[in-house]
Amino acid sequence: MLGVPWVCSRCLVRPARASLYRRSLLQRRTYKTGSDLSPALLTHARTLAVEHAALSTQLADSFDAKIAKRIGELAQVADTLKEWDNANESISELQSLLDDPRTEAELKSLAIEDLESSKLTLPSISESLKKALIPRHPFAELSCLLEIRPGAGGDEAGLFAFELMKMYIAFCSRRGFRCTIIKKEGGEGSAEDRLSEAVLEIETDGAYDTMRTESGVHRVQRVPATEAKGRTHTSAVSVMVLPSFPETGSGTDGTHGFDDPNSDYYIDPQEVRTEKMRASGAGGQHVNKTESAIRLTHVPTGIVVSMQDSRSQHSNRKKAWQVLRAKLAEQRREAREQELVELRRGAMGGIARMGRGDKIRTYNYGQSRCTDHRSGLTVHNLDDVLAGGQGLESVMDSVRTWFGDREIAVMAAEASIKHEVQRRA
Amino acid sequence: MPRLSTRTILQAYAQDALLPLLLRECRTVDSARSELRWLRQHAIDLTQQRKEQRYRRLQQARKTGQASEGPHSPRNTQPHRKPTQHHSPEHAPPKGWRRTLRTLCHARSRGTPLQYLLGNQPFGDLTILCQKGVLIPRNDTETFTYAAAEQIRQHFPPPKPEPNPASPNPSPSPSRPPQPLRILDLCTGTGCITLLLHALLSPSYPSLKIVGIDIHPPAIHLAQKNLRHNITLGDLPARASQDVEFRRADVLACPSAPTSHSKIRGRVPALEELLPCIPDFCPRAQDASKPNGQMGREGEGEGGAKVEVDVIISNPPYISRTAFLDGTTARSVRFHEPVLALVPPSPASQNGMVEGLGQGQGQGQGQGQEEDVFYARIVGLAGRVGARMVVFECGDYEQGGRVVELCRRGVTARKLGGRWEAGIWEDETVVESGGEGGKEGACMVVVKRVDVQG
Repeated sequence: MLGVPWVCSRCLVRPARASLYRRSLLQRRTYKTGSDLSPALLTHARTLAVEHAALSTQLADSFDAKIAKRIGELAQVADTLKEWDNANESISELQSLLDDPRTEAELKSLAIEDLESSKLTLPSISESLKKALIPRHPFAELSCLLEIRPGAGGDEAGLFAFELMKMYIAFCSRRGFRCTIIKKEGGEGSAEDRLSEAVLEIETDGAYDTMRTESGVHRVQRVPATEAKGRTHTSAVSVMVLPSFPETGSGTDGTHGFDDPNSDYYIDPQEVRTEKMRASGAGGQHVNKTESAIRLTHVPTGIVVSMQDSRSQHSNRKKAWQVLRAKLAEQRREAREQELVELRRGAMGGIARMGRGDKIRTYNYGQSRCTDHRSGLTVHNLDDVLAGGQGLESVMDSVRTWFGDREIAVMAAEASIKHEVQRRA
Repeated sequence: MPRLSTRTILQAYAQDALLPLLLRECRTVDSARSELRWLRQHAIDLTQQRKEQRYRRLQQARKTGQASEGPHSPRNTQPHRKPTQHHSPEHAPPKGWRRTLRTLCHARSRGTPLQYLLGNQPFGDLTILCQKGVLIPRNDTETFTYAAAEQIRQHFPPPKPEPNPASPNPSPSPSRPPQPLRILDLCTGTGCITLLLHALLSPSYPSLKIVGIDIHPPAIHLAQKNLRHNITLGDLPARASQDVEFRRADVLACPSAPTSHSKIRGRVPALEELLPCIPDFCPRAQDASKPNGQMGREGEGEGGAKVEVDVIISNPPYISRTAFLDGTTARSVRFHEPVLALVPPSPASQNGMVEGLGQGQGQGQGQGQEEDVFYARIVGLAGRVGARMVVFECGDYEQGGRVVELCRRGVTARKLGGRWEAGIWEDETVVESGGEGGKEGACMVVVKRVDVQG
């Protein structure tokens, strides 16, 4: 029918395959959690809904800010669960209507239509229920600091660190985040394009939630500019996303109070040693030193933050405090998370925790690809990723989805264990 | 000043050819590198500005016939954002910035202060404009101003906020506005202390009056410019334009005696003559019997005008003639900053008005050091205006000790009425690396009246 005696099957397959590839430059290798809700998760949602109802009646009697906040957190779960119940109920009702032999044909056809539409909405409802069940990250609504440090790989790592910094700046300007460099150190040598350390401040609320997918070790594979023989090197740059807290005094919601000794993120000023770099000799009006470096040392943990970018000692100190706070808060949160992980591991074994020590992403220049090792997403347009474009965004989105999936999986496992224990008792 | 080692110079040169120039003033590679970074950014901004000016002038020349104005606006349309610290790739630095940078570096190597080259100095959250002829604000002064604001807040508990702080509507205050907290800043220079105090205190004190005094007209102009500049930047609240005032007066002059600074032309009003002209410093009602009104203002009788001030803060000239010349004072300061703001006039040139130093003591230590002229004078003034707190910056701990002693003698001689506490303020939280023992450098003396509650 093609007018030729026969066509080689490969010749037919090849163009088809090419078009297939062109359509999806993105390859995906993710593990999926079940699309429907596990019974354990459902019971978990129900207990939350019961709590919500109980608290609501309590709130009607007397107002308490804490309870109101908790209700706000639970409201979404309760609402979505109600929706889910309604959908299920209507489905079962329609089903019984269909099963009833006495139903008229006209009514039946209507019921079939309704049933189909209800069944279609069910997956999206269960999806949003799952999302509502994921607990909010404690720092999710904060702005953030992004610390970039070259790791193994010498000069080349410094060069790539600079490129990563440019990437994040471009990403921020594309997303409309306000981003300032609060610390940039180029290390020895005059080269402008390599870093020994940089800290970016992204001053948009919720930036932490967006950027937290970036914490970890970024690996680069390429032929460096400094390489004479054309060999590919692998080096690493570590990126740390730290929460940036609003200045004390202005933020009165008290959840992240630094002045409150009971707060989780309280820093005792006695434990911080402030050092001013100061030459010996006369001071005050006698000299006009432009030296403004400040070094803070948190004595119990040994964290050192030094800052010298600004001409004012005061603002250097303020920024150093900001970074120190962020680092301590992140450390404490991580420690708590680690505890949780230990607990869970005792219960069910083998849950991966992605810390800052793990390699999270590879930028391969030779193959012009960027692979995220957590979500398994590969983007074959490295230039776009490094320009902070759509590619980077899709990678970050995939990681965020992966975070959510993982959280759900963990929660489901946990809930099922609880269920088991209850049944046995 | 120890000689720079060849190694250091070579090391600096390897990093940037301009670094050795800066090293002459900075002495360490680290600080030279920081200065180079700031200068480079300034050179780029400056060149860009010049280029845009030239472009604008050209356009205007071309459009002389047409009435329409050009659509281009000045470079920084939003002045409160600093120019970005990195030059993003799409904005390549303008041509010629390297030459500008080289000029700046050469000027710096000859000792011109960085702040005069850059035109400003950050001071707390404020940006203080600097120009030749007015003393540059120091880092020490910044630290002291923060500490002083803290001390003031402790000594004068701020009024309780309105019962509903959620709605800060300014209208429903009581019919009579409360007595403002009155602060006098003597020898204000750029106005840095005055402005930073306002920025720090205005959130807690709804009513505030700070007056900065200087003898040097360019300083007064610059201070007023700084006030406007920081209000437009949004670093100072708009009410600062009412709360803050800068006036020209001679702190050392006696009202009876003619002006002490013959160098400056025209008659400068003495401080005593000026203060009654400031309405906020005169108690509004004679019948208001303030607790501190009865006691402790012995010297007030002769002038007739009642003047009341709560706090006096001052960073007066405090360098002695010898310390100015014997190498204690840095070259850059000696050659480029105004002597008027550094070295107090010698008592000999004054018309016998210096109180507390030579006269009236009788004891051996009665004859004071010439560089303490201002302190003695201000302590006397504090007694007369019923101040309850005096804050001084002093050149070193020795001088600080002398000033503390001076205040104690002032109390015994009943110049300061009531009970007072004087001491050198210590910053416990800061370790100064590099200095030996931390007893070098400037210090702050705080004198508080303790028998009257604020």
